[in-house]
Amino acid sequence: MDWFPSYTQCSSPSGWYKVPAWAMALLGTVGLAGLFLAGLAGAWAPGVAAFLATACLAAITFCTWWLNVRLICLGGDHSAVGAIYHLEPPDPTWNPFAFGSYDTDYSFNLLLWQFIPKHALPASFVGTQWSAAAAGKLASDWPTLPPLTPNLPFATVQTEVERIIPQQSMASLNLKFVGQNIEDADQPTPAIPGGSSQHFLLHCEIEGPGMRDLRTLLWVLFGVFVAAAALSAIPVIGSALAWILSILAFLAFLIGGGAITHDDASPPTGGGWGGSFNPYDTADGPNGKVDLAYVYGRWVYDSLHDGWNELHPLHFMIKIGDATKGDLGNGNWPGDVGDKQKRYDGLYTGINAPDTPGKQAQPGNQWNVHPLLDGCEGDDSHPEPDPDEVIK
Amino acid sequence: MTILARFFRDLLRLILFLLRYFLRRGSDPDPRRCRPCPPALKRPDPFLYSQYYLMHLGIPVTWDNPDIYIFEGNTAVDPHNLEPSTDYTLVARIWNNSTDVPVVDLGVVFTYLSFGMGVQSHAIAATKTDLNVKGLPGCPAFAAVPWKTPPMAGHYCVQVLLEPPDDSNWLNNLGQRNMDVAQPASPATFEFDVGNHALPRPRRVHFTVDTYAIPPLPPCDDRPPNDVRLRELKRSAPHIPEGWTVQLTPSELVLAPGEEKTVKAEITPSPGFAGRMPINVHALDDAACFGGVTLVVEAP
Repeated sequence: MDWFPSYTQCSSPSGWYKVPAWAMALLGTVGLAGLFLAGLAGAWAPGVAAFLATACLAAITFCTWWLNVRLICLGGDHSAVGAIYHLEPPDPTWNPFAFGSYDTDYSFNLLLWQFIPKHALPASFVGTQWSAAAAGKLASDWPTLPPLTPNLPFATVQTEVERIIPQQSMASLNLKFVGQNIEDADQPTPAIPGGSSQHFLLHCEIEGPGMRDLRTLLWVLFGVFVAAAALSAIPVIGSALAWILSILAFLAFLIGGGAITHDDASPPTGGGWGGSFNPYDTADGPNGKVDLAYVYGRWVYDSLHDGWNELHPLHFMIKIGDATKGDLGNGNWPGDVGDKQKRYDGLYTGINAPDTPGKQAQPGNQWNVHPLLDGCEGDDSHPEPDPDEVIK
Repeated sequence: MTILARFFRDLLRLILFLLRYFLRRGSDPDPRRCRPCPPALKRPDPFLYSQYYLMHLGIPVTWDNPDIYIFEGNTAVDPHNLEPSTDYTLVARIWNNSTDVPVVDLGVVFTYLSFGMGVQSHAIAATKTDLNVKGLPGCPAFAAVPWKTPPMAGHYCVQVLLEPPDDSNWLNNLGQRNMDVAQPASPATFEFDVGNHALPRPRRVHFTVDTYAIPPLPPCDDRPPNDVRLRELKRSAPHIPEGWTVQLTPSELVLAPGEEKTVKAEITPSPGFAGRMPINVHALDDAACFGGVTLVVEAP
């Protein structure tokens, strides 16, 4: 099926490494040294161009890590159901040095089905969460945890809990894990004894092309700065050409960089993309409508932050129903949400099967308005109801 | 794809974005306004043969809806043959115009009306069904509810409304089957009601008449896969054939709010007619068509 565009890869725990700060520092040092030496020789134009070229390379190194290494694969694509707790749209700016704004992903936290915002993992678990025995202990302690957790057997929430807790596959990397917290307004007063700041929220990110765009722009600028440094070797006019090119490239960064922060995750044209969603936190009082979502994405750990698991990129999401904020806040979820997730999972197994595009490309499926109006007559192009099957 | 080719593809995309951005600067929606949001939201498009939507597209319609069935036991029956106080099963055939988004627990609401246009509807039942995507088993889906007809003899229209949790096209979710059959007993005579339950002011009603029926489909065998040439849809309905007369009495109405009136249709076929001829009568007020019936004249 048609998935939302994505620009990142995830690395296996064994293939992951930290931000290559040493490489970036080395590039910066080389650039500065070049600038210093060129300055001593009175060749400022090639010196500045070479310095800016190495700065571009350092930034490209970071962007490549950000795009291809930062996310640690936790094991394939998964679905989840719940209500959007809080939306976090990207934050465009005209300041090209606001580097955080080049991340144009559209994020939200999903309040997982069966939980309420104040439910949290116990501090006893969080304190030992990277240990191999922690998950088993959490399962055995589960019946004793309410009201910190819902009064449900662990088996009914096991898959959802698994999504948000640290995974043993990456325990040896010694990374932080802080999970997702709720907003102050939803914090229980008084606090529930034994709780933590890790709530049953699954972070989801819909990818925007900002960082990919930035890396592309940096490669172009790198080429221009290298060319400027080379041009400066031309007698008489070389230095002037180098300065002009360098200034133009810097201006391109100032203007293009600001524009790139506006290249956010946007719904593709056609294909059923689009619509709006009513999240939990902005719902209008207890009777405010909150939409329920089925989301599907790649399960990863984002190592750029202090640490949590997330679905990133989110391949798609659909609205599967609604409830009121009051009901969700009290844990009164519609009873069939989990069953719906299983049925959607079953249907999407078929929809994402490799032979599905071929089936959908058959002539009998090329109608736009109605199969009986702009379709064609095939073996099974408009089946009649079979009373034995339909009438029960 | 080589690294260089990918770089040039990304560069081209970036240049196009920058051009688009600077040329249209100021018109881009602020994503924080959440319209649309979140961007990865996808919507299904469940639908059935929906006369109002098709008319909105300028396509002629029949009120003999091909997606609404009435069964007595295991036998499909015509709506004009319904007996009073009898158990039937209503079945809706539901399609999905999305290749990506199915609908689990799609709400399907069945109602009935007395035979006519703009008259009041009465609840029958609601049910749910799972609708898969276009081109896979489970599309079309069928939804069925039992229906015991009212104790009064008469003709009835059946309406089906789809209520999905989300939809990329909300206009094609309502379909209705309003059909009656008569023999041309010099002339064939029908009666239907016309009502005004929608407007708080008098409704001026007039009618249009045509003989549109859904034409036969071309065979799929003629087309290769991925052939997206679509059949050209007729934009005008065939007129009443020469030699036929359709007399509506009255031919125009003014209905007070809440008022219903009966209209008599007398259809005289051309001499020697044999076969089955659908006559579609559409009711229009000052705004648009608000209903219709298909009257079928059958001669052996």
